[in-house]
Amino acid sequence: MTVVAARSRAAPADPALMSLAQAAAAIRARQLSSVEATQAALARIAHWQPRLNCFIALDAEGALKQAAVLDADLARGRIRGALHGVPLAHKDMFYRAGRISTCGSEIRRHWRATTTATVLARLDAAGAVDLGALNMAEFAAGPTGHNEHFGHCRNPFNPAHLTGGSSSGSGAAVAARLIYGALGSDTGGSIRLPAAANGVIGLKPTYGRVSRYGAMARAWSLDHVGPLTRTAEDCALMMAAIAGHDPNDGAISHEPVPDFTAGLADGIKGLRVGVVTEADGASVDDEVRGALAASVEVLRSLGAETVPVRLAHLMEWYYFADTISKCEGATIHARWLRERPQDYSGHVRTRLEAGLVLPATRYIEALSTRGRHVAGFLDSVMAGIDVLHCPAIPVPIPTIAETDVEGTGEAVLALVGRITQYTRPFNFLGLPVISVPCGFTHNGLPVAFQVAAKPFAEPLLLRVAHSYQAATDFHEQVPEIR
Amino acid sequence: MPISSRFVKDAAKVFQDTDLSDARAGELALEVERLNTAVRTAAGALDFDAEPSAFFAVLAKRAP
Repeated sequence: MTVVAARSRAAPADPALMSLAQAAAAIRARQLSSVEATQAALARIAHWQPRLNCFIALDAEGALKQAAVLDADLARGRIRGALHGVPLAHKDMFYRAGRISTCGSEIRRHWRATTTATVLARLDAAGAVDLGALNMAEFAAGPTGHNEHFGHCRNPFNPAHLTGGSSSGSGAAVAARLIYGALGSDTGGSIRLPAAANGVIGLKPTYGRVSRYGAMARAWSLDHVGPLTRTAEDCALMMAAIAGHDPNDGAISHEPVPDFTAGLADGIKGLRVGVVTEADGASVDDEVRGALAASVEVLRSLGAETVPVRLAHLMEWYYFADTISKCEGATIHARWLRERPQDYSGHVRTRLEAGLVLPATRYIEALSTRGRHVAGFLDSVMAGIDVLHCPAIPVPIPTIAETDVEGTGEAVLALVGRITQYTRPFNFLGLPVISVPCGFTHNGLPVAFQVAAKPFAEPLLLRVAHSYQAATDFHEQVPEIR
Repeated sequence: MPISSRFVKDAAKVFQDTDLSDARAGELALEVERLNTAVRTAAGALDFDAEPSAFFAVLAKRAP
């Protein structure tokens, strides 16, 4: 473990190695142009794409054109927003009118969107450059990063290992410093898993905090949209751009949008952190447990008070989420499952099929019990604490071969099942959760913890993550091109 | 009474016009049984007036 004294970090000379916040500040100060930042990103993409397969579609020409326009704007004194000139790229399921959005699938390989996702429109308005579409699990259905149609995305810390999914390209591209940040979606862990596996920050906001309009649906009741970035500060900047009410999303909240960056540096002295030491039906590998324990020590050293917590209902929430996910997913895909079953990967089809025959009453019961369980969680587990610390991925990151999702071995299915044990329940609860890198296992792959909070308390999660990152340097470990 | 692979195969065909192999229907029967039992058991504790939208109300009421 590497724990460092809190310090101010100077911006690196290579623009691609800057954080999003550093790049945005350098562009705004005209020490770096958007074209230079975009060219630096493109140079790294040229090296890494053949090894990692992060991009499904790269729009270098369009991005450079967009960057030049933004540089010209800046020269005239016009700053569009906090992300002015910063190159980003996003999971290939956020629609942009006129552009192909494959959703990682064969079925939509040539499908062009007719509308633009609210989150992309908001990032455009904040001045971000869009470099293209990132790899993802087919139809966002899979926690590993396997993709039979566009090739598996690979982990920059070791390309033989999985990236996590379904926002596989988002996690790997941000970790490899190909882009400064990316959007992902999270229905059972799909932001937090690739964030954890690739050593970056991933935030699943509260259900309803960020618009889902123009984002491919995986399961409406569980879908969340959020950022993957290298630092909590970067994440706060992206959240500030994308959060808030949207009349196009019928499930969006009317909650006021806070200033996500305001309290970042306030520290966590006196914060009460519940630490999950036991969860019924779930377990944690010893090596991962060691890294998690060390992260708790860091939080304590920063002044947090910790209390042990047992999660008695984790697997119950998991099954509720699984039921909802399967029923909604089967509804969304029913026609194609009938008419084009051969165009789905076997593992995606099998993830959906149970929803074809589960009774409607079970689905509605799972939804109806949700309010009682969230209230119960807040009144019991969260009573007396401010945030909850728990594992992200409870095992060392496996290889792509070890988790061959097209295989049918029981051991593979069991391993893949364990990956989402600690993430999927929070999609059922709808609460905000952030994944924070906290070390590496013997195989050189990242380990992470999750922190969950009460509804709409994303600023508190970002403050915890920022404080932790100020005291550690795990997020600064740059994977090397081999 | 456990959910049989025959029931799953027939339900998929009748309700969804979807064909399943016997082997796949057998796997699905186990999966559906597990989820059906978990949710049905928990649903025993639901109030008569419980409904899905209560979830949104809890999130809104518990916001900081």
